[in-house]
Amino acid sequence: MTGLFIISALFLMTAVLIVPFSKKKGLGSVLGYLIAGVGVGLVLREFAPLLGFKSSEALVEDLKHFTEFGVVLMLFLIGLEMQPSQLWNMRGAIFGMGGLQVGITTACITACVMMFGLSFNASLVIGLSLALSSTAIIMQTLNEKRLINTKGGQTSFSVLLFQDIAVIPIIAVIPLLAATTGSDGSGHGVELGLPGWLQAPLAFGAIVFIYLFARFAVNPLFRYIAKSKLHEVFTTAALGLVMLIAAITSLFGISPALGVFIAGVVLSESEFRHEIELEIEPFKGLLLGLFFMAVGASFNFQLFGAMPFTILGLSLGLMLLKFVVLLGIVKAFKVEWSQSLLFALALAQGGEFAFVLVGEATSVNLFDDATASIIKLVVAISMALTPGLFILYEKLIYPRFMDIHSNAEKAPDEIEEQGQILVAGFGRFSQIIVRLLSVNGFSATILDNDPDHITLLRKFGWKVFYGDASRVDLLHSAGLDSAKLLIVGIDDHEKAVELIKEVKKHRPDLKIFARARGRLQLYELKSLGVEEIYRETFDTSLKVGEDALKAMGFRSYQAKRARLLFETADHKMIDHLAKVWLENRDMLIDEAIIVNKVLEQTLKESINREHTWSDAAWSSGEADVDKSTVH
Amino acid sequence: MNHQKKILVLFAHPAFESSIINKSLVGIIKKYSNITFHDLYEVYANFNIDVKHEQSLLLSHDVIVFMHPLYWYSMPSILREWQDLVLQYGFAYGSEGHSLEGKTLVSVISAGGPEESYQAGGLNGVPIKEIMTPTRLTANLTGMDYLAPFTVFGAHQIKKEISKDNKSDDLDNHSKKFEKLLQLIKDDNLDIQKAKEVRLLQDMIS
Repeated sequence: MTGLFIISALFLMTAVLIVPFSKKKGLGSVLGYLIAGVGVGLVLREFAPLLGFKSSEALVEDLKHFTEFGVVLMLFLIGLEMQPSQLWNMRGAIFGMGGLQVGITTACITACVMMFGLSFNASLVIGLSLALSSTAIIMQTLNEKRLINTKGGQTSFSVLLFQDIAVIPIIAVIPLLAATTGSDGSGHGVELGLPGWLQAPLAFGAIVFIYLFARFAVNPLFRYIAKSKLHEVFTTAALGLVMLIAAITSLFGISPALGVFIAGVVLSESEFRHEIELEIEPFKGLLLGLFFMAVGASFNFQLFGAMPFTILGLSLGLMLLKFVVLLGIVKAFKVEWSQSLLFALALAQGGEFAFVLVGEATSVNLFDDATASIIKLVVAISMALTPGLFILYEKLIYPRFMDIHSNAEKAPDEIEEQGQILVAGFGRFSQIIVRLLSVNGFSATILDNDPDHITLLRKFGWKVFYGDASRVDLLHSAGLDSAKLLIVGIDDHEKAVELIKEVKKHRPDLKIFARARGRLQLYELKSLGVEEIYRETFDTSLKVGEDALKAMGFRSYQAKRARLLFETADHKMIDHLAKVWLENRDMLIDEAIIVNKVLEQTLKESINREHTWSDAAWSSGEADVDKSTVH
Repeated sequence: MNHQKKILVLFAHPAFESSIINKSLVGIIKKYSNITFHDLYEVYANFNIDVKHEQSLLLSHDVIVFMHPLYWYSMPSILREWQDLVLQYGFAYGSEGHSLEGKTLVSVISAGGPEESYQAGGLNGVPIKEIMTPTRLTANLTGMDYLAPFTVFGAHQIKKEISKDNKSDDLDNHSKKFEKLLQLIKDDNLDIQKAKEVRLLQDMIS
């Protein structure tokens, strides 16, 4: 047990020390994790046996397998963020560019490898393995550098998606290419020993099942859980869901990342989307970080030391070849230069799939362990060099294009899914607000925490998301950072206050409109700096009062002016009393009584004034609550 | 001794978001931080004019500008409401009402039809100066000098030009003259007497 603690502490604390530093220096978190991992790897090599582990290599391999789940979580989150319609629009890039990229790269690499003397079959497998790129590093870095919504970023993602799909047939094909017919042979744990021809249709069936499951079973399940209002059960459910899908897909030979991605896309329309994202995000962050560390820790220094220039040469050669092919393909699709370069640099490395495929290949004896180790090392080095390429892009390439195209340069297309208007709480108060906005072309991201209520609203076609809007991390997930306006329609005053306090901390510049039950709530909200506060019944009551005047004989416009006069005077009074509430609370009731009397007095006077106007310019009469007379 | 005149622009346009001419002119006004730009439809969307506030604005400026499109030979209704409420007996006129005496009132107008239509024999049959008679009389009664109106004619035509070519020479010319006039008024270099006598205020600029 102690050994486990020590190892865990070693990994985690090394990350804590190195990653923020690397981020600060502009190297990005991925490089930080890799470097931290290398450090931990060196330490482990010395101490693992002492701590009771078989060997540091085995430990790191185990860790790598375990943390690969982080990549799966990442793809799930990406799926959640993506709408089905967006995905459909990308089909050209996915199959067209993706297909070409995998095909041509494989062909080139296969040819090169054959020149080293390996058999066609072995070369083909190596070609396929190295044609794929590292989804983890690319997506993580693109997100961090906020390049994901650029053309280059989107194109990268499309091709990566295709690569994920391509893994399915590739894994199926490897045993067929083996010199000897392999047994189930994978060191990867459970797999159904299925005959080849059954694989494809079953895989397809599994995908259909996942689609149906995500579409029809998940929402009712989460509704049931949400009603229990037990937060940790929700977390468990979110994780369990992803694991379940990953299990099903890998059982049927599909890359689990692809399976959960599909599930994510289906769930992107669910009312639980933001809540699920929220729960999964920390796990993904942690596991992914550890994954990169494991990659770093698995760095085979001995092998590298034995033939440093060869290995380095192979890595650089691989990256150069991929870069050229990628650039050629993306330019053929007429993408603009700066984005094309970003794409080509981003995907030039080998990916984590290579580790998997190479493992498969050795287990069916396509090539020997020595070759496998070289390949893995080459891939690892190319992965380690990738953050450097991004920095190259940022510092050298992008600025040049900004200068040249600074007038024509379009801002990267922001996917405007995150509404600029956030609405917390969707009861009677908020619904009318949103309807008015909607009719005038403004959409809002709406949050509510009553699952039954949401079900009803969704029937009406409203896109409402489940979540306790008083939790600011949910708001972040729903787009707090890019919001222009927050409307707080929650009827629970305490929750509203909590929420507003938190929001003011994170985004003091964000305009907030808040609902207040009555004056006392208003005073409190005003003291928090809320820009506009709306007493729930005030306007309605004024309207009734105005209509009552009319019913008692006032002319319409006369009643209206009377209402406006009263309203203005009341606002002035409220402003004054809000100050009293803040500075001198025990005086509040006395002040209120006095101010009310003065208000009535001045309103009566101004109305009398009106009755005596001659046919000169008539005066509406101004009620003036002179504060100095209050005391 | 020339000292700076303080200018108050009372702007009345119910749909400023889709205006073209006024947008251009307002852009010019906003370049000058010491000209007060008061957007009536923006501040008083409910027509609930704060009379005391408006009166104190009038007191603290020397030149009052009514800036508006010409709607039915008059001004958009909020400016009418403004006059009805703000120019109170005892403030703007009457035996005790001298607050506006000596100030200058000028109209800055955008009109749809071409200049030719605003004359005897034209479609509108009557020159702009005559159409603005009620405003001139109001200035008289309150003791203000009413200058000839600065008028941008042919608003319809200008809008067509802009939507086709994204520019209009006519509008540019008017804008340049408008800016010169603002400067003249601000620096107290305008011959008030002549400005009352010309047909249109832009005629003061050659």
